[in-house]
Amino acid sequence: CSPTIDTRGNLPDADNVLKIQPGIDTKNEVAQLLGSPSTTGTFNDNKWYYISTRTRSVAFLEPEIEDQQVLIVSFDKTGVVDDLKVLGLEDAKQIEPNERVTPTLGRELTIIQQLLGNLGRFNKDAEESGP
Amino acid sequence: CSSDEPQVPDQPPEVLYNQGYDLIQTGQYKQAAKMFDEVERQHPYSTWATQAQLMSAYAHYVNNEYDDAIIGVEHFLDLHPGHRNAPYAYYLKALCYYEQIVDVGRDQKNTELALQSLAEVVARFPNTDYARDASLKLDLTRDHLAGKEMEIGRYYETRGQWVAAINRFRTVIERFQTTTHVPEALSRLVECYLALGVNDEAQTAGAVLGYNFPGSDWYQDSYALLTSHDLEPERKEGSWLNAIF
Amino acid sequence: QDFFTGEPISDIRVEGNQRIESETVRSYMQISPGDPFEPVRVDRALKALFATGLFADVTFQRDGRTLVVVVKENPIINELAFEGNDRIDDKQLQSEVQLRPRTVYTQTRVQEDTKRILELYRRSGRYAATVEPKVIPLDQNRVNLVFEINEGSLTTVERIDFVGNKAFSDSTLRDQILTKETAFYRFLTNSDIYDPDRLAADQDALTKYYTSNGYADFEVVSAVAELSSDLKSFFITFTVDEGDLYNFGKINVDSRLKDLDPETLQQYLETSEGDTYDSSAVQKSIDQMTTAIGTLGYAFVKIEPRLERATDDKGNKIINLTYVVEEGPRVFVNRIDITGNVRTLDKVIRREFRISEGDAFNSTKLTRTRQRIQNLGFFSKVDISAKPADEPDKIDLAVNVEEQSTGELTFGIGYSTGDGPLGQINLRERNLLGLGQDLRLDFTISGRNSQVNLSYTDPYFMDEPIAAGVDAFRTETDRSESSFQQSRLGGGLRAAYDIQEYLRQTWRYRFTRNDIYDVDNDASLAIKQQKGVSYSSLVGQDLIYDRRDNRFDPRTGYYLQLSTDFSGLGGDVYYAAGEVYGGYYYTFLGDITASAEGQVGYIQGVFGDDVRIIDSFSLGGNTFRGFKIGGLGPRDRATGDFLGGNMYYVGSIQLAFPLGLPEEYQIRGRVFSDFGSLWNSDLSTPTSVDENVLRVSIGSGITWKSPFGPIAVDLAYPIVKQDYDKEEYFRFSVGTRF
Repeated sequence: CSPTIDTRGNLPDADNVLKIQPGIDTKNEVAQLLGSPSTTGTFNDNKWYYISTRTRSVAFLEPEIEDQQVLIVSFDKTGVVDDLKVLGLEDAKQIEPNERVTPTLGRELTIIQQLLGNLGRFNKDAEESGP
Repeated sequence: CSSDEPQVPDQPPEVLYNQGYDLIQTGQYKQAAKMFDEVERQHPYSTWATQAQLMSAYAHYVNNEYDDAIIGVEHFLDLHPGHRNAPYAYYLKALCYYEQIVDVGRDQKNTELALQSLAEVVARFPNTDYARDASLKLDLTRDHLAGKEMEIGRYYETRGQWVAAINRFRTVIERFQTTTHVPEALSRLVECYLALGVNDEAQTAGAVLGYNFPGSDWYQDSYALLTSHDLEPERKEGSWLNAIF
Repeated sequence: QDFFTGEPISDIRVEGNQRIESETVRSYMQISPGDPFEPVRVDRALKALFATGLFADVTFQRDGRTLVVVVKENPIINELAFEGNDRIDDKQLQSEVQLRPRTVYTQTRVQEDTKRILELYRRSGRYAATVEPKVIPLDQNRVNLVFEINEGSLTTVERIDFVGNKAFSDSTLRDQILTKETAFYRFLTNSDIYDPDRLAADQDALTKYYTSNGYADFEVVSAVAELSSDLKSFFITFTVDEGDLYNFGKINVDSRLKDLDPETLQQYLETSEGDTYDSSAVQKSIDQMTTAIGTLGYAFVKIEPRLERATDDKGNKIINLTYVVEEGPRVFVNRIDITGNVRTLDKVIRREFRISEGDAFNSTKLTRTRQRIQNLGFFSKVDISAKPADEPDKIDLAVNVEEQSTGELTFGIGYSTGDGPLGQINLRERNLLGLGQDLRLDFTISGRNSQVNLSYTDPYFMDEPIAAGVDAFRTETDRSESSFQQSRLGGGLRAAYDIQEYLRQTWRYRFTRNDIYDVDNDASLAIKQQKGVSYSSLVGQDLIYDRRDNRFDPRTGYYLQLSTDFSGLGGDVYYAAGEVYGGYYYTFLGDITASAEGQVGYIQGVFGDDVRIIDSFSLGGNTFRGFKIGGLGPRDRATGDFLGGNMYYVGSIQLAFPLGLPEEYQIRGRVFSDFGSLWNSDLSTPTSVDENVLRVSIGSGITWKSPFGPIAVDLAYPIVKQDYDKEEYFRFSVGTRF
């Protein structure tokens, strides 16, 4: 049975990546060629990340990541490309997201409220009438 | 004509007003609201009418009829924008939205409305105790919106969609700096960047977390996670940090 | 003395105000003492005061250097009522109208409200309605306002005519559109009421019909609705220009995507040379190609159909079609924000998305996502709009949903010759706690059995696309064909998932306490031996490959299902069973559906156990028309008791067709033949018979989706049967839910 293949994120065109000349091209040229980055450095705008993953999923099983590519374009202070680096699936590390969650407040919907409140007309906004 | 409820007999405004007031004391909020409405209907020009409009809104509020309360407050403010009780009216409206805030999993329309009306109270009437309480609630409301960003960030992280997750956690760090979710957001960034193999960013996020929240559980977990991949939390470029924190 | 002398105003005095404080009037005027008497300022103040809508009249006077503002306040509405309204109740009118008791009465607001009421009546088809606002003045500048309404009669569509249609008759075209001519049998629908939006939808329907049948240049020239002088009826005339009939000429794919060979896309084309031109086939081909290209990794694809009209060598008109496949705009999704979900959790909607934040934008995936959210059945409205985000090549997706009540409390009554009178109560919540989980409680009471069923399903168990569920049931059945009563009490777990787009598997575990009691004393000895309680602990699975267009009334496609069960994980009942189901459906000549369905089953006791009558198979009633339930198969000749069977096969071929009545009557006739056999029971007595002999029945019937609920009547006659079989010629069932 054929699995479904999904490409996520922004996989820049290989030829365009080759066209980037470190030391010459600035942020505009890179944006022209590759489009805007998937994300930039958390605390540093001179690092652009183009991130894409290709997953293969069969039925309900966990989608397995077939390929993952991170293209890192770093710029110097004046905004000119000074380095290009590519990370692949081999660099990825296995992590388990932390179970803990920072608590938030807000009224949960109780069962009774839901069962009763629901049988009749529902949408409250429709009822709002001007003064 | 055809209004179905029993007609309230015409009475002097202060009698009706006091009946309404007693009804509130005994917890019969619905009748109280109706009684205050009668004051205004029968004696629209009396000074009692103005106060009755506000009391009617208050009665609806205490009865959790938030929509009616908000309509009542807006009705009062249309007619008496400069009234000495206006600060209380704005504050009451803000409370109506604030108390309808639901858990982060669902539409946060009321949270945003609460945010606007609380900010309005603080802006219009800066040194009243309404403003003091409003600014407290303002922080809680912002914290709640940050909570929603985190909820969606975690949704994408558990499904291995690192780009989506990273951008959500960054929104919390950039736009909700004063909320309780920042430590977790930084810790999640460590996780996501490690999953992508971008060690510099993971280490930077870890360092910022350590620098600002040294005692937090989040820092301990992130530190453990980084060192388990023999990496050290350490800033990877200039002291850019103080700009944000 | 002269008014505008430019001197500074020393003081402002407000007169004539009763309810509104002078302070409030001054704050609206934006004039303060010290400003000069100038026409511009005074004029602006005048406009500001009128804009508040609080005042009927405002005049300025001058008393020395004091500006005197004399206001006449608009009256306050004391009571507001509607009279003469019958079709539309006060509550609905009140929500439509802006004015309320205790609000300010102004002339303009009354006119606007009158228009709103008229518009409400027009929308429900009453164009002859009139509305008269009556004002009754009271003391203290208060008024009572009464809207006197005369609803007039219903304005219906008398006749629908078409001008310029040569290829298709008026009646064929009338079947395509939603607006219908008024007729006695339409008392329950409002399709015969004139509705401008529906008229626009009708024009699209006509265009779609013609362009899907070869008329590429088709155009609706005009759609006019004239109102009769007595305001009672509408005459609608559609003027159309059909244009020429086209066939497909040369069809090719011009791929401008880097190293994408057009040949690979041929398989997705629904259009071939020589066919009549069909616009919906062109669109289907585009959708299929876009999806296929998407999975090959080309995120941004745009396919344009280039039509070139020509005449072929034989002189008839053709369209040469080129699918131009090129790179679409490189746009990425930045944020996906979901609003309106007051009750449904964000993830229940987000998990239906085929795109995530950061992915390439793809309109086919977006349409697929909208469909999936719509299919949840939780929302009356789902709209997804793209808004530009901070970067030029990024967009934010704003998803707004309008939730509908997903709680259902339905009652059903019905009658069928098989089960006798039938009563049903169903309580269901399809979106429990906004988590998208389904909880339902069903009660059924009928002549033959009564049943209580509780079932809970989570469509995304542990956030995986696994539909896991828990069931509990209690049934009492009158097995008169084998002269005993059966009660079943039990519960179970199940989990279902898609292995592939059309291939779905369900695993189930079920624990049941079976009790056979009240066996008639003249029942067959074999049945008497079955008396008593037994516990079955069973695990089973269903594997179904389903390509039908829909499950309830399939018109095209086919399906195959394999079900296997093993009872014996504990409990004291041991058997293994397997059943295979299949069906093929084909619709031709517009609406005639031929179908062939079949079932085969085999059950075998294990560990030396015999198969009990309540676990073995039975045929008849709906599964084999022409025979009673348990009317064929192994039987104790002396007592006439049906003994069940461990092996069976049954098939049914059927032809369903419209009866020539207008399509929206929804009455269809059918002719059918059922054939099959049931044999090999573990129950036997000296006087019992158990043989594998073919039975065949033929019959005909009608089905009608009447306003009171679906009605089915079948006449079936067994032409090949055994003397000991029990026949049933007439079957009737009606069921309604309200």
